Amino acid sequence: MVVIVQQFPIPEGKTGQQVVDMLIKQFEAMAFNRIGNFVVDCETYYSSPTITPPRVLNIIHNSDFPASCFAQLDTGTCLRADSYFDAMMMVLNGIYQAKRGTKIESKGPKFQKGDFVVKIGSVSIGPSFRGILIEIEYGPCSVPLYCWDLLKEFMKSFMKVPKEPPPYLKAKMGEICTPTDIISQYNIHFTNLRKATPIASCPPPLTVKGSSNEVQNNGDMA
Amino acid sequence: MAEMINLDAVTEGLRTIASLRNGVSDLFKCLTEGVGGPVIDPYSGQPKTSDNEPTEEAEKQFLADVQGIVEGITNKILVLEKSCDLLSHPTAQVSVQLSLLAQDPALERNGVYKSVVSCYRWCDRMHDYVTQASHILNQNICRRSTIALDPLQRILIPGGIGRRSSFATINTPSSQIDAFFNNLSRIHPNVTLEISRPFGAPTVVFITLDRILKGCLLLHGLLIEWVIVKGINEEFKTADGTVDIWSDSRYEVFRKISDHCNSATLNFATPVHVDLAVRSWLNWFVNYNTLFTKPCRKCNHRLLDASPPTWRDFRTADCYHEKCRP
Ligand SMILES: [Zn+2]
Repeated sequence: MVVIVQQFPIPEGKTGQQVVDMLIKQFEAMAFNRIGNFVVDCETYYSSPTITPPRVLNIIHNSDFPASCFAQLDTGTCLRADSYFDAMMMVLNGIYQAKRGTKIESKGPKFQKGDFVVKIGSVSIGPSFRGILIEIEYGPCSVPLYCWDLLKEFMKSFMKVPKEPPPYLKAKMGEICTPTDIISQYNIHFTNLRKATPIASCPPPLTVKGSSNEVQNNGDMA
Repeated sequence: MAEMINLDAVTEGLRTIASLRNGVSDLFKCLTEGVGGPVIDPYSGQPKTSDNEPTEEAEKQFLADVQGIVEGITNKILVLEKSCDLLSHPTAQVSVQLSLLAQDPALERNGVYKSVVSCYRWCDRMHDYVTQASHILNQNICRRSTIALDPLQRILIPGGIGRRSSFATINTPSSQIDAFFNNLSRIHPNVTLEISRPFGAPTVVFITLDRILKGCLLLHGLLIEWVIVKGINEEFKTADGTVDIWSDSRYEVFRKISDHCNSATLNFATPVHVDLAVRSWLNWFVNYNTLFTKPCRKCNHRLLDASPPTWRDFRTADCYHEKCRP
């Protein structure tokens, strides 16, 4: 499968919930089937001062891989382990310690059309809303290079299409995609969204000026 | 025509056999009863109650009886042998007589002649049909290879017209099939072929096309009987290692392609050059290496109903969505 996770811009004067509702309505109109909900959560652990250099460890769960627990270091090294790994983190309490109130999660509805699966995730840290992440999965193809144009054509029907693949994917265009690649993409977005200021109705800082108009135009074309 | 059989000797022989069997059963009866008459009462089925020891006289009488019966048997055997000698037995002549059975003038009674004639006609006609059919089918192949507008097919027949196939029967030895596929994988560098025979004689070929898709062919001899296509991340083997050639792919695209592949086997099938059918089929199949990249020739889009163009034309190899097919 090839998966791309993209941030969905929130136009000025709209709340995140309004944008999500708009997207759900749009997908239903385009004959997408709603196939349930999903959640991806991430908790950050910091190494104790005894470890040099200091490390940041992210423990990520994805409801699509319920038996797995992903652990990714800030170096990019990613471990895919059994869900028992959570219990082990408790044992490592003295070495890696979770910072309170850093748990970030993206959750929302899942839609399917043909072999495509689209997930609309509302990202929040506790009660504070941080943005919208759209995950697009194409199951039949395993190499991003082969289906990039196909994905672009698919995305065009409901969102602004990036000219180039996101940097993470771009470096791996010719390789076979694995679940780790999904986790890594979420991790990159989570890191960015954590730094972003909490929002209710203002656009996220990463959005390009005028992007809301372009979304509108693309929507009309589709 | 048949030599007269000595009927008297036959009758005499049969009568002797009857009395011989009679004599033998007399002997057995006499021996069963033993000395001094039957020990078991023939009416009640109970042993006789008298415990008298058999007298010497009775024993003598018993021996005389047995002797008399055995003598009678010996005589009857001699008579039987004599009547057998009287019968002439020319074995060679008997077989000749059997071969003349069909010339029995009473045709309507046994009907052998009639069915022999109809069988012969049937065979004759079948031979005619086969000759005709083979002629027509051969012509057909020649035409396919020489049509100018058919670049795909022309590549398929490097030897040109009149090439003889060594794979004409379904009983092709497995070593020959292996060699054939080894040869094929050399022609297509982006195709990996893996041969296995998990069901005994039928060959199963696993095809991997680039990193696009996987296929599984079930062959009977070199005849493609079943095709199934799956994604590169799907398996044809179950968890316990057995080969599963029936379950479909979990993706819509590959289920559709499986259907197209099976219909392609019918399109490329030829009764005479079986190897050519497989070769042409694979030549067509490798066009799926553009499955995700090539837009539809008619609508120029990659997606229609969230599906890429799954159809590849049999002659031109152009790609179309199923609904855009010309
Ligand atoms: Zn089309």
